[in-house]
Amino acid sequence: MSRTNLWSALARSSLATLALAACGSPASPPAAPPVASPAASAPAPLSAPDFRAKAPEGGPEVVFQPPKIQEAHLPNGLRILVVERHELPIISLVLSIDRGADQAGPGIGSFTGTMLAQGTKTRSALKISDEAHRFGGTLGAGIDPDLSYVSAKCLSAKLPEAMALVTDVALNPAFSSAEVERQRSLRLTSLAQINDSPQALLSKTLLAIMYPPGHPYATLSVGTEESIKKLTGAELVKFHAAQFRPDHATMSFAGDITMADAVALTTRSLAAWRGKAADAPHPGAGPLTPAAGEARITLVDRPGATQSHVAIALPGAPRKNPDYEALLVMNSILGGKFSSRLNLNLREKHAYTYGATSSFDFRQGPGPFIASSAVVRESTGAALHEALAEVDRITRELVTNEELEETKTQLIRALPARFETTSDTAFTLASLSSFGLPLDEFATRPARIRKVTKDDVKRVAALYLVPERIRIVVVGDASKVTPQLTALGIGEVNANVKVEPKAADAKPAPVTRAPPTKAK
Amino acid sequence: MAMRSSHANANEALESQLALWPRVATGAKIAVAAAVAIGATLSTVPPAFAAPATPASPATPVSESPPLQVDLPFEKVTLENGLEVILHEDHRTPVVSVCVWYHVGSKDEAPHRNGFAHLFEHMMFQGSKNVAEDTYFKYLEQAGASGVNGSTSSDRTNYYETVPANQLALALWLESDRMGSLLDHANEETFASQRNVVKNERRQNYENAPYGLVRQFINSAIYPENHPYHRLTIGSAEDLDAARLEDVKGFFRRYYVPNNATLVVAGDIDRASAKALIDKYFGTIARGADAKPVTSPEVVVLKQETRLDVEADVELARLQITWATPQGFAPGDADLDGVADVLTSGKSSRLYKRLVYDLQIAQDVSAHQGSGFLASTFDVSVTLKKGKSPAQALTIVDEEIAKLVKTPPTNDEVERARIGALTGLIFPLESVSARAERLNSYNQFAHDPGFLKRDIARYENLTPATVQKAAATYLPKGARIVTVVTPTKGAPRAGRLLGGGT
Repeated sequence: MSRTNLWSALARSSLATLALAACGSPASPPAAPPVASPAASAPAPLSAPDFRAKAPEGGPEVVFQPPKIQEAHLPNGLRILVVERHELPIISLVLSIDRGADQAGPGIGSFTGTMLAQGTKTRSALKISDEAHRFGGTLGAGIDPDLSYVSAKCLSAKLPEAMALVTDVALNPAFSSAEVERQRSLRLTSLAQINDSPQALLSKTLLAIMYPPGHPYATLSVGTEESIKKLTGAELVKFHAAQFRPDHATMSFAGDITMADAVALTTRSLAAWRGKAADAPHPGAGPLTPAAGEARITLVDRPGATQSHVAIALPGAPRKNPDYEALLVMNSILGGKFSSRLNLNLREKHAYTYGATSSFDFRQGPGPFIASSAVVRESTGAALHEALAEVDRITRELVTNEELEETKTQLIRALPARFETTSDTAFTLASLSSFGLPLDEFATRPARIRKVTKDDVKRVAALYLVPERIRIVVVGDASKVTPQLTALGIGEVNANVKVEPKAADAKPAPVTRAPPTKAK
Repeated sequence: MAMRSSHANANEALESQLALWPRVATGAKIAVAAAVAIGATLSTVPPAFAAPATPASPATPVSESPPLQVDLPFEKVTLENGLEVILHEDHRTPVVSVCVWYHVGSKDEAPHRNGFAHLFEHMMFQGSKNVAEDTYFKYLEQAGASGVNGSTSSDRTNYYETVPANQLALALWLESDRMGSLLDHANEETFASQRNVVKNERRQNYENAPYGLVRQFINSAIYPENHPYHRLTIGSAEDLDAARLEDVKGFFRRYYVPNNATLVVAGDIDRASAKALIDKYFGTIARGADAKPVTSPEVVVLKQETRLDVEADVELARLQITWATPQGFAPGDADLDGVADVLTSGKSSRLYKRLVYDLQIAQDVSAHQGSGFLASTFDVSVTLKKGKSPAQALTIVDEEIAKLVKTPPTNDEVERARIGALTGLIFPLESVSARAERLNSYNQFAHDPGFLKRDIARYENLTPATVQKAAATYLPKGARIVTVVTPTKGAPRAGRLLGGGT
């Protein structure tokens, strides 16, 4: 019978019902006869070489119009953000909190995020799963370093059911001990599986060596074996209660809903929510440079591996940063796209790898900057040498005019696609709110990108990619790659790293407040 | 279903199509720390929610509620040179997706050239007569493309880019130049380089990946030596080494002809001017001889249960049970999606609830109808917790399938599965690139770009009886491959097959 409701509601919702396009004409039969091609029949051969010789110019520039974001507040402090898109009967909703896992010890945030959907005061874990399955939507719940969220995507007709589930899961998780133990067991097993994945070992190792012990970014979000074994349900309850409060919450909707309906629904569902969230200091960087005598290269041995996973890493930059756009441009040129320097060098020029990339994980504090690749064992040293040279070069030499202009153009022109789906749009709203960015962030970003100069690129590269702070991690066959690493001439190789942080690390986050930076 | 994402295990997902390069996450939160480490079961979104589930149906007649009305309008024309062109107009976002399918995949490879179709795909990005080496991506990046890649599966090879609406001509120029004149550029140097890139891809995703070669062992066991699916798309290192530039030329001349390709242009277009541009860029490419790719379904009949014992240096044992099932869109295909859903989609699904939730002997379980153009497999995969017994898991899987064979699933189970399947079909169509891909997929696999309505009907028409019948017909105990991966120190992480696989 839920089927009847769902599909009959669907059938009622205009547009025949889900016309997926605005083009009104009916589909032509697939067996349409071959159509004479004018170009083929017209005598084009003479001009043919000409028009193929050069890339065609684009048509008139598509002017980027970011979607209109509407805003309201409830008296309890909860913020409502809405982007209306009525072409399809689909709605994405996200209830988010503007802080996350960086407010607790290793693994607590991520564990809490998973527990949200493992039962509430009135719904069992199985019932939550069944209800979500039945309204045809997806339900997500999680806690990232900076953002906690519960989300759903549903057909418009099913919004009440989706909203009821999202709010119950976010506000009333039960944290039953049976479910806590289930998740604890799954998490401990996942931690063991890290040993199977060179990529996961690489991430785990580099976080542990680039952030000081106890720093909230020093472990994978799943935490450590030690932290998962000893954390208690009470800690999860406490963490949830301290963070999930309306004065730090945003309810975002994108899709087939009006502002008035969004406000009315949110008021019915969340106006009675009360309380004030705990203070939320954001992580600072901690000591950035390796201590005297610390080895710069850490090697995790994988006997027999025919490929080495390598990374050049250091603490990066916080999201709220006057250099944000310059960093986007710089990273894109260095390793953020296919035609980046790292990929063209390591993949296209030397064929050491399937791909080489770099990225800044922009968070409230300085999230990791990582340049990484999986390279053929015999060329581990050579590939690292090339990657280090590329990092060094962008800090010392100006990029070319061509690189700068191409990259800026790309970053600006790719903006519309960011809002193609309702779920991308709703999470973009949640993210704006989480970082405290203005609602016209995307309207004003093209102008900020246009202002970035070659000097800016070099300046931010030198400012953030400081050679003295760089750590190198290699996951590979020690017997084969150690001589190659030693030959790099950047010091000894630490092959006995103990990456599992000590028990003492499993305490609340350090409270170095990030230096205040002005939002752009 | 080939058409929809489904929670196949990692190896299957990888094998179903090989991308030209690993995409970089841009803009979105890069969960370096989180995502990498946490297995599927532990992701914040449980498998049941993350994967569009499969379908099932009511005991009550479908006619009780109005059928779902969904439309994916298109116009299809065929140029004189045989190129099929499918246009889809949609103005919601000012972008256009261009998606070319060549109707050739690893199923069409010559003997001792396993992996070649995919290696060839890489060559298509290296330049053509008027597009210089390593500039293909540069043109598109500068144009603001939001998705550029290519991928090869056993059945087809695709190339796609989504660009701002004013850059359609650029995308058509690039695609037509390599369709018309790849061989004016291809050379020994770039071929040798891409061969190494592909070998690195193989090292990364197969040779050094946990359980990385298990799928190859299964395919070799289930498909006879001469079956087009006997070997995986990624190929073998020896065959990749054996490939020559001459092979590139031969493959291009035979398969990369306009009369073996379909071009979809979808998004913010004016159809008349799009057609004029397509005529200009593609209409002048010469038709080739008929490509004659393999298209006949090849039925595989297993006559017994075969056991594969694999040793791998991994933390957790894995049990995988594989049946030979009907090809994509054939009768039974959608019903098997229903079976998969009832078994493993959602926490109260039968196998998830018993193995993961109640007994807690498994870390993860998935069931999946992996639909192919010529043949399919249905796989149940159980990753056990440390020290837990694959034999116990096998007993439970057998019990649950036997129950399903004996008694139809409940209306509620089939109802959930149906809704999951239908939203799984429809939600992705928000994205114009997904629509372009879907049109191409329906065109090749179902011989009708307008198949969406019938695809929906396949799932609307499921009933507890059809789901039960599919389980009874296609998942017999006595005709299947049972693979057990045992954690073994010193074995390859990708796995090694014991005893030659009989």
